[in-house]
Amino acid sequence: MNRTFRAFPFRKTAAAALPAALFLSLAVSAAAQPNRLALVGGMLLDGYEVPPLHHAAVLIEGERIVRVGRAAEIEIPAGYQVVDTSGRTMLPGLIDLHAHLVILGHGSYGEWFPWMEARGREETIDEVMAISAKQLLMAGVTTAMDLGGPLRGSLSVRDRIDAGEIPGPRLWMSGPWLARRVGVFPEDYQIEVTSPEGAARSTEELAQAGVDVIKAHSGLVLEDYRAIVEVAHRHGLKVHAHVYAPDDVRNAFEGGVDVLTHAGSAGTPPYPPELLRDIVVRGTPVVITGAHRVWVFPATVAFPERLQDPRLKEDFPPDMYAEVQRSFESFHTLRYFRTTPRQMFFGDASLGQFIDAGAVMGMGTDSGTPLNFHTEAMWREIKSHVDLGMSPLRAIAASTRINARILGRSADLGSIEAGKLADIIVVKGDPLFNIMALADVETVVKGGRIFKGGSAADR
Amino acid sequence: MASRGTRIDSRVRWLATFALLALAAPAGAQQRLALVGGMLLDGYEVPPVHHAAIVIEGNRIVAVGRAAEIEIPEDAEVIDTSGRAMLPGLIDLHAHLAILGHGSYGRWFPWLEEEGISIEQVMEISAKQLLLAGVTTAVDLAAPLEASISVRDRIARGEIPGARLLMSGPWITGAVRFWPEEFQIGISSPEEASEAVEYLAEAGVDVIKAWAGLTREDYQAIADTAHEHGLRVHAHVYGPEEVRDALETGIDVLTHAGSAGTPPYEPELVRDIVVAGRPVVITGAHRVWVFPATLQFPERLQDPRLRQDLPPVMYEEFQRSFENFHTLGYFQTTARQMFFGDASLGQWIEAGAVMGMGTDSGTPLNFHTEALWREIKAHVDLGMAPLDAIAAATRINARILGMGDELGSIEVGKLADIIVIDGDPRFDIMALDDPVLVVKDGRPYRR
Repeated sequence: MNRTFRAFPFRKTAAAALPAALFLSLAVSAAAQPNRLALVGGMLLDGYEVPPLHHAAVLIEGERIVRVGRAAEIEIPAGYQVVDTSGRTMLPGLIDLHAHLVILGHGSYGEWFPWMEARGREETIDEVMAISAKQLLMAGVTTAMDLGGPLRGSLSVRDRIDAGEIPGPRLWMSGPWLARRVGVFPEDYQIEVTSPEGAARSTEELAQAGVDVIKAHSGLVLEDYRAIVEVAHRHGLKVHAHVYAPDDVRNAFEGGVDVLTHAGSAGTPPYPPELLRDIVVRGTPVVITGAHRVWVFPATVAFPERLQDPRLKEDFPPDMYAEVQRSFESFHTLRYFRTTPRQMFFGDASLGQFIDAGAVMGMGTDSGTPLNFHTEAMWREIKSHVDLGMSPLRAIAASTRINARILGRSADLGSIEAGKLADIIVVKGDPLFNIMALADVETVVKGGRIFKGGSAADR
Repeated sequence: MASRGTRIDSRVRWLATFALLALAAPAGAQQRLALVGGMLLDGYEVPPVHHAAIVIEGNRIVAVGRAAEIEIPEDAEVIDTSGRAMLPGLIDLHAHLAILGHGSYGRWFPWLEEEGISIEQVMEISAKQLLLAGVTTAVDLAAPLEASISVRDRIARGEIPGARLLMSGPWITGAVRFWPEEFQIGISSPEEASEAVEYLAEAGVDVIKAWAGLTREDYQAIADTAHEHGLRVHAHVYGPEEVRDALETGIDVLTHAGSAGTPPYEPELVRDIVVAGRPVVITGAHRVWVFPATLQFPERLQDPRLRQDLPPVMYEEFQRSFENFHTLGYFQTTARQMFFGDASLGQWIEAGAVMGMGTDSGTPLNFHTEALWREIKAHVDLGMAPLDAIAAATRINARILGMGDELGSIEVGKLADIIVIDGDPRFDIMALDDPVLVVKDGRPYRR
C-alpha cells in the first residue's frame, strides 16, 4: 500500500490546498495535548474469534491503543478521560469495504444525479459526501472504502477528513471506476475502457492522481483485468472487481484481482463448483454486498416507516430530505428493485454458497444505493451474514479484522490490541446474543478521538 | 483378512523361535529387564495379549507372551505392569527440536542469541521431553547440521537422555525465509538441489526434508540423489500442485498435506496417493486442535512440566510469549484450518491412505510433552480406530522410516522400546497422555 497513516496524511492533491497556518496550528495542538482516554468496564470483543473478555479496559494514548485487559488488572493513570462502558460491548470500529458516498439512498440514480447537477454540482458533491461520511462514522464505521465516484470530490472528502476538518471514517477512495460498459452513474464517475492498453493507462492515471484502490467495473475482459492488476499492484494498490456472471468472476479471478465484490448477489443460481473451489483454495476475498439485494426491499415492504428514519431528516438539509422522500413514493415500482424477487429467490443459495464453502469473507454494503442508508447498511449486512449461517463472532471478525487484512492494513486496523490505531465502538447489549445490538452504536472512537457518545457517559 | 491371519501365524512362529533362543541363551551375559503383568498391545491391529510379560536382554526384546507361559530369568529386574497397558514406544515422524512451543519464531531465535543459549542446548531439552512423553524415536525435520548430528550421537551413546533421533539437518528450499539461515539450504536449480542432498548425505543425516518453493525438477533431483544414498525424503507440501509433483517424483513421505485451511484435494489426487501407498503425515493437531484447546483451557500453557523442563529464564520468556496468544501471527489462519479440518484432514483416513503420524512438535503452543498424544487423539476424533492410530504411531511409522525390522512393535529380536501407560487406550485414547514408564533401548526412564 502506498498509503500510510500519519497524524496528518496530506497528499499531493490536498497539501497544496490547505493553508500552512492551519496545518501548524493543528500540529501544535495535537503535540501539546496527547489524547488520554480509557474505556472501562464493558465486555471486549477484540476482533478475533475468541471468547470475550469481560469487565475489560482499553487505554488509549494519542491515536493508538496502549493497553488492553481486565479492568481489575489495569491501573488507570492520572490524566485519563474515563468513559464508563459498563453493561456495554466494546469492539473494533467497523470497516465497510464497499460504500458509495456520492449517493445516500435516494430511490433513483436517473433523478438523483440531475438533481445534484441542478443544485450546483461541485458544492453538492462535497456536501453529499460529507453527509455520507458523517453518517457512516456515527453508525460505527470507522473505515470505509468508496468504490465509484468523481475524482475530485472523492479525494477531497478523504483529505478533509484526514485533516480533521470534517468528521468521517478513514476513507479509501477509488475515484471513477473502469468499465467497458459505462452507464448508471454520470460520465465522469467512470472511465471507459476499450483496450487492455487503455485500461493500464487509466489505472496509471488514477494511481498518479492519488486514489487508494482501483475499482474494476463491468464488461471487462480477461486481458483488461490483467492489465489493471499489473499496473495497480506496481503502485501498491488493490483491485476490487464488480462481478456477477460466472464468466466475469472467472476472468477477474484469473486476472488476479484482489477482491471479488457483489459475486453471487445478482439473482442467479450458485456458481459452478469448480469456480467456487478455485476461489476458496486461493483465498481470494469475496464481498457479497448481500443485504441491499435481498433484505432491504422486503424489510421496507414490511416496515415502510424506516424511510422516514428521523436520523435522515437530521442529517440532510431540508431540500435534500424533501427530494429523497419524493423519490420513495411507490418505492416498490423503482427500477432498482425490478430484479429483487429473483435476487431473493436465489439469495440463500447464491449468497450462502461462499459461507458454506469456506471462502474468505470480507464485508461491504454498497451503501448509498437506493434505500440502503449509510446510517444502517453495515449492521444490516452483518445481520444478513448471520442469517445466512455465519456465527455472530465470525461476522464481526469479518467486518473488522478480516476486512483490515483485505485492505492490507492489519498492522494498524481491525482489532483492539496495544499498538493499533484506537478505532473502537461501544454498543448497547451483547452482539453475540443478538447481532442487532450493532444497530445502536453509543460511542465511536476513531484515532483516539471521541466522535460520538463517550462524554455523556463520563464518570 | 488373509494378511491378518498371516501376521498371527508369524507371531506364533516367533514365540516358538523364542523358546529355543531362551534355552540356548548364555546366562548373565547382559542386563535383563522384565515387564510383567500388563496388557500388551504389540503394534499390530490385533486384540491384546492380557496379563503379558516382556523380557529384555541388553537393548533387545528376547521374550513376549502370556506371563504365565514366560519364564522370567532369575537375575532380571522385574517391573510390575499389572493393571496397565504396554505398547511399543511411540514414533514421531515430524518434530522440531530446536523449538519448544514458544509463541513466535521471530522472537525465539533472537532471544536465544541474546541469552547465549545454543540450539543444541534447546534440542537436549526437547529430546528429553519427547522421551518422557513416550516418544522413543523422533524425526527432526529442520535444525542446524552440526547440532543435529551432535545431539543425535550423544543420545545414541547414552550420554544424555532422549528419544532415538533421525535428523534431516537443514531443509532444502526454493526460498530461504522464516527461520534462521543455518536451518535451511536455499537452492535455485535441480543441480543445486542434488548438490545439497549430496552435502547432507556426506555429513551423515538420516533423512532429507524438502521444504517450500520447489519445482517438479527440484523434487526429482532431491528424490533421486537421496535414494542413491539410501535416504528417504519427507516433503512439506500443501498446494495440490506440489502434492502432485512430490507424489510423481517419488518423494517418500507427504507431510502436512491437507492441513492448510483449504478444501479437500481433487478425488483423483487422493486416489493416486492411496493407490501408490504413499505415506501421508497430516500433522493435524497443531492446526486444528491446539488453538481451541488453549482457548478453552489456557491453563495448559502453565503446565508444571514446562516449568520443570525449562531453565527459569526460558520459562519466563515462554510465558511472556503466551500473553494474548490468540493474536500470534501463527494462528491467523487457524479459523480456516478449523473450518476445513474434518474434511481436509479426514479425507486421507476415509480414502484409506497409508497414515504416518507426526506432530510438527515445537511449533507455537505445540509442546513436545504432549504433541504426539494430541495428534493420535486428533486422528481418533477424525474417525480412526484407536488401535489403528496406535499402529500408525508405532509399527507403520517404523516402516515409513525403513526401520520396520528394528522398531515399531513388541516382538522378539526388536529393539526394546516400550511404554507403559495407565488404562486401556482402546477405551480411552487419552490414556497415552502420561506414560508411567518409558523403556528405550532396554533402559527404563520415568519422569
